[in-house]
Amino acid sequence: MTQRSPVRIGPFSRLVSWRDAAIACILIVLMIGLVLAALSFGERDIPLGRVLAAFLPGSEALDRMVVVEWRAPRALGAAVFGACLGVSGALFQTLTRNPLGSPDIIGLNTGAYTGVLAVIWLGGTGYAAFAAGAVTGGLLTAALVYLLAYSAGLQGFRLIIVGIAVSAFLSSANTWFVVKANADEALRAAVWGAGTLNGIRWPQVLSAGAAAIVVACVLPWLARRISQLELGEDAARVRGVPAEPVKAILVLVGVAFTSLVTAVTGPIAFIALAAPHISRRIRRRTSGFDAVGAALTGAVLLVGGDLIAQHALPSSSLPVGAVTVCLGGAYLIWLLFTEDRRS
Amino acid sequence: MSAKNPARNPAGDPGMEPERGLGDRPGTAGALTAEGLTVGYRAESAVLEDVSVSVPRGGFTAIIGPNGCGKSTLLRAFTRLLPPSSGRVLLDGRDIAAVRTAELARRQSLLPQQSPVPDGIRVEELVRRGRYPHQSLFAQWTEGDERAVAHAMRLTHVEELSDRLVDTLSGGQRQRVWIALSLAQDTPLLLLDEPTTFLDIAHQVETLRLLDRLRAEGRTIVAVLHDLDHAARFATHIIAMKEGRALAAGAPAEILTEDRIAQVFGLACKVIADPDTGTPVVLPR
Repeated sequence: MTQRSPVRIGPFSRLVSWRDAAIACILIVLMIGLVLAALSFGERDIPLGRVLAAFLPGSEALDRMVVVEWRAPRALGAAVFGACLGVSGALFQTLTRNPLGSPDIIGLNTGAYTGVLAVIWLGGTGYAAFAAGAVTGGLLTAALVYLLAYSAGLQGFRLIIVGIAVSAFLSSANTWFVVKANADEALRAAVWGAGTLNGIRWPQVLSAGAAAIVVACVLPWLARRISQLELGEDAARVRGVPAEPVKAILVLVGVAFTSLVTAVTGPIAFIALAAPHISRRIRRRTSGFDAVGAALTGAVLLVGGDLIAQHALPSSSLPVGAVTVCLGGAYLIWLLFTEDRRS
Repeated sequence: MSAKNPARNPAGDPGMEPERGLGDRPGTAGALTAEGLTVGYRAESAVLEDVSVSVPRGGFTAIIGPNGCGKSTLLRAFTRLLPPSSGRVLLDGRDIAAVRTAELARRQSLLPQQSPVPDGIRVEELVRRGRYPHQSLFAQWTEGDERAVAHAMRLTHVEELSDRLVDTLSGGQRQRVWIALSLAQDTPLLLLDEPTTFLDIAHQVETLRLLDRLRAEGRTIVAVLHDLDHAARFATHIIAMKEGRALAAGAPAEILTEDRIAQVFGLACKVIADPDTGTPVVLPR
């Protein structure tokens, strides 16, 4: 009947679902396969043996340059960023109790874009200035949405509605800027706004990855409390979970995960929205908030999406943001059809 | 549904022994006592006004009264969800404002009127979540947790449903599952807000019999009930409320009189004795 068994070592005890563990392993294998494909395919296809050899000392200089310096940070970056977006989506969807309550819907990406446009307008250039603009824009937007939605406690549905309104407002401000700006500024804004992994190098991946690991340390603490909030706030509070502070921390962690990605890549839609949802469909027997599943699914989606972005058109490479928007649209339509047929 | 009395807390099941804290003085003052309790959701309208009532330990206390009279508010004040603007609530003689949150969570549980069901959750998984106050970051599934969940599911007869999706259960089954979750929390005090409201008559009686069994096992039960006959039949103590005040409290036969019901509900009625149990039966006239 049950595929779960207790694991107890000293003071440590957990109920482990072997089925979930097996699915996680399959997703990890799939992700590694996609990363290896990303390392191998390109303008110069490099066979797998040479890809692996490139990481060893004494490898051929050109292989080393292409695989280790160019392709590896991009592929690993896609995995890390996809995981961050997946977890962020799972957090916001749990908070709003709504599958559409993802960070891109409630305006965090739009706000980050506004931040970058402000940096461009102020004459800022370079990766660090853009990242600072994106993080500041995302955080300010989140704070604005949180405060506007807060009324005797934070309600999920209000958060979505207020988020959509704020997002629409910022979006028109962004359009106004791009129209008013000179051609050079508008172009730089548009390039960032498309969301791309082009030109990702080790320093960006390592700093974003380190930040992600620090933020992820809060997740085990948060997950226990989220599983109580899911059963209703009064019940959670009587069981000893301070509902409003926990929700505020949840928002903060979700915003951190989104903005550390957006700062590097620009807005990448759909991953945060779909990863938790797809993960739940794959696992089927898992309910509620599940950070591991959402993270692994997000990683697989973004690494896969970037492979498509690089190789879908024979001559040029697309920004991955454009691919995820297309995939997301197709997924949503398919979902609406199947849900419709079921009901 | 079973009418027979199940075994009392079986030996070898220490996980479900109701905890006896330092403040417990069996047989003395109530398990929960409100003293001059005034509570308002917003400053302008007090929803409880100077309520002083006591919940007897080991009893089944029913809170009755017309809609909007403050029944749920009293339950929320008893569980510290609403801070009093004046007065206080005593849990085993101690002001609950001073009790540590973790300790409070091991002494009282609340089943709200309606609870959201997480997507795709199964019965046993839901019941397991009641163990939260007994767990920590490291210890999340001890043998005590396992025993408590198994015992809670046995008492509520939901073992055979353990692998079912909660979404697919009938109203009565679902209510048993929610009560199992409250039981898994393993608290001497159980508070329930209208536990029978959305159930058909058979499931209402089934739920009340379950609460009666839990009381017989030594737990203190506090429930908001709408059906006066049910309150008469199953409760050992009744608190009658009207417009934010506690009008009367006492044994069912003392409270459920024609005059009192007219006063509380504005309803003319005749009260007769149940031919089998002797408890009051209310006949609206």
